[in-house]
Amino acid sequence: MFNKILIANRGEIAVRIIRACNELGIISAAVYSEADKYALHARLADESHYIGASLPSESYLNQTKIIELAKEINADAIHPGYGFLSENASFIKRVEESGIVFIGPSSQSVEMMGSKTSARELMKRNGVPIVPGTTEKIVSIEEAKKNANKIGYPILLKASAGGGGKGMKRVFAEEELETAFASAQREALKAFGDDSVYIEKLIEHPKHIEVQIIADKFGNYCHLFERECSVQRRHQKVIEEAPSSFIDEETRKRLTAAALNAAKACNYYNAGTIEFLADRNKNFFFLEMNTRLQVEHPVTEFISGIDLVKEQIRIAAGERLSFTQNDLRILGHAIECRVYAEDPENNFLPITGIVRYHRLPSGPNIRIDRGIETSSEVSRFYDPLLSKISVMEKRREDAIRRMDIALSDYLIAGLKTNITFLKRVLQNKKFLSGEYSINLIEEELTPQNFAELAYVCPEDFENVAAIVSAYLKLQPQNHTPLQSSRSSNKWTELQYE
Amino acid sequence: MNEVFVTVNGKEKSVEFVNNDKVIIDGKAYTYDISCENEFHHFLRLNKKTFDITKVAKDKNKIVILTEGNYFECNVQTKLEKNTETILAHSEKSQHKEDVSSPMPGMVLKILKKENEEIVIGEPVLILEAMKMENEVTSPYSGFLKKIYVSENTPVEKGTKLFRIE
Repeated sequence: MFNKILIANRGEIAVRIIRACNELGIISAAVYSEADKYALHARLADESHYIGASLPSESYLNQTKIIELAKEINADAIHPGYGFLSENASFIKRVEESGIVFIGPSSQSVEMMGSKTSARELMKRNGVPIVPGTTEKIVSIEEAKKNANKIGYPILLKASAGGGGKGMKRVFAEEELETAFASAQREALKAFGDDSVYIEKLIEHPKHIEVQIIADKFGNYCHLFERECSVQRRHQKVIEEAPSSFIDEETRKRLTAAALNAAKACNYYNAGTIEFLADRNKNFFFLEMNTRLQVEHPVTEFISGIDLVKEQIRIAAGERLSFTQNDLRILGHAIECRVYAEDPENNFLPITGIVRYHRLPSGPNIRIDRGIETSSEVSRFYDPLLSKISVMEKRREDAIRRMDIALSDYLIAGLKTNITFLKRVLQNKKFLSGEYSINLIEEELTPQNFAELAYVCPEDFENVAAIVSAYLKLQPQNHTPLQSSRSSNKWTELQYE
Repeated sequence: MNEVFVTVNGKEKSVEFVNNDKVIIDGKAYTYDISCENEFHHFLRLNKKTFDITKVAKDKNKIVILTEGNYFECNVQTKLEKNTETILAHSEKSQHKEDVSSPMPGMVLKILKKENEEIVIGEPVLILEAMKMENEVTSPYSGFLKKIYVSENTPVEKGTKLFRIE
């Protein structure tokens, strides 16, 4: 087993990996940028190393610095988390060549899945269904027009190197194509340094279903069931659940088999996720493979009872999978909500600021993954994800109820979050019925809907808000702390000023 | 003297503290008690129920409250402020004139409208690039686009004036 792991990431995922290291008795080495000097991950790790200025390109994306540091501090392995360098095949190759173990798949597997167009080609050859569209990149608007007409509108423009909705545009008619094509190319170039774009048929009202797989270096492959991540804003997931209430046992068999085929097609080892779009008739199409740990891995850990991060580390260290497919059962229904510093009333624009107060929910089967606490700064340099709340219950409706209560218990001051928005999603009829698609938010949860929803908010709460704000207005200097009772015990002599 | 007007969810409420333990909201009396753990965390006991409240942000007359997972943007005015405003509103024709500022640091990528163009609420005025994503900045009011303060391909800070709607 490894002696020391360098964690090339920040925020909640770095904290998550530090915990796994602690539990396995491995020394955790964190890296931090200027802005993250006293960030939670930098405080919790056994060692913390400064790697550069706040801009990601100067620090968390600086391949040379990270590899040099790993050698210098004698780290046996690097865990990349998600985002940043996690799916960068050339970085992984450099790590491999430096004699350090990369906790994840081989650079070849990542390379094969890295370009969306070549991954589509590979899947097609291996009998994994793909969305109809081009398998080569499109460079000119003429070519785009020709292909779009062949495929038939509506279509979707996507960045070959893409992810996270960057460089992705929906086009419903030819006259919209030119603007959308240029915008997609611009976004793709800025986000990935590559303006290759391809065209897919737009599947209307699809669900986003993905399968977690894991494999060791001995060719043992397992799936850990599916997750449904159809609640998305700006093509980024906000609420995820496992299992999907839409998938029946027969579909699950076909889906997980396709996922395992996809993983085998690129000789995959370690944890990975195969994303699919499912149409109303339970046909599913390969979307992409995420060759890393996912943000939403806690829901799978809940329903499978498997610690994915520890398993990742063991696999990288050359151990066999600690379980077989037959050991796995779906243990319940889990939901995760991503709490973001953002403004749902204003196109979900990210919000920056300092967390002035932070109280987390707690209770049976409520799990929090976080990278922040009181006094943490949410800066413009990084993703505005504050924390993830995950819950599990036996039945989906009870899990939703548990989540709703957990969100109500969450207190955070200093910046606005999407907490109310998340609660609104949980109360939405389509969400509750399970019959929702990836268009749920733009169809049912727009600011216009919020205005209507505001009127059904219990009057009690409005009165509460009115009283407290009136009170704060009249007594702006009123910060007198709570009187603590002065009972006599041995601590009373200690007075904290 | 202790009467305050609070607009919450588009409804105006009159809040009057009469004693240390009594508050009247729109003519209805409640027993209350408020304590604060710190500047940002308060407890309000209203009749028998206790609410945990966070003061998310405060700006002169605007206070943002989070309680039980609900955000409330409260506009708060004392009686005096309200009276002054009423007088002012009569002296000049009250119209929506407002500068719209950038909600985020970013880069103005494209300006979609021209000055003096008529704008409907929710219509995109410009595209702001932030977090590597293109974001449409829409008009919060209907009216005329009186002035555009920025030009394309210029970086803006959070709070930089972008345009004016009248």
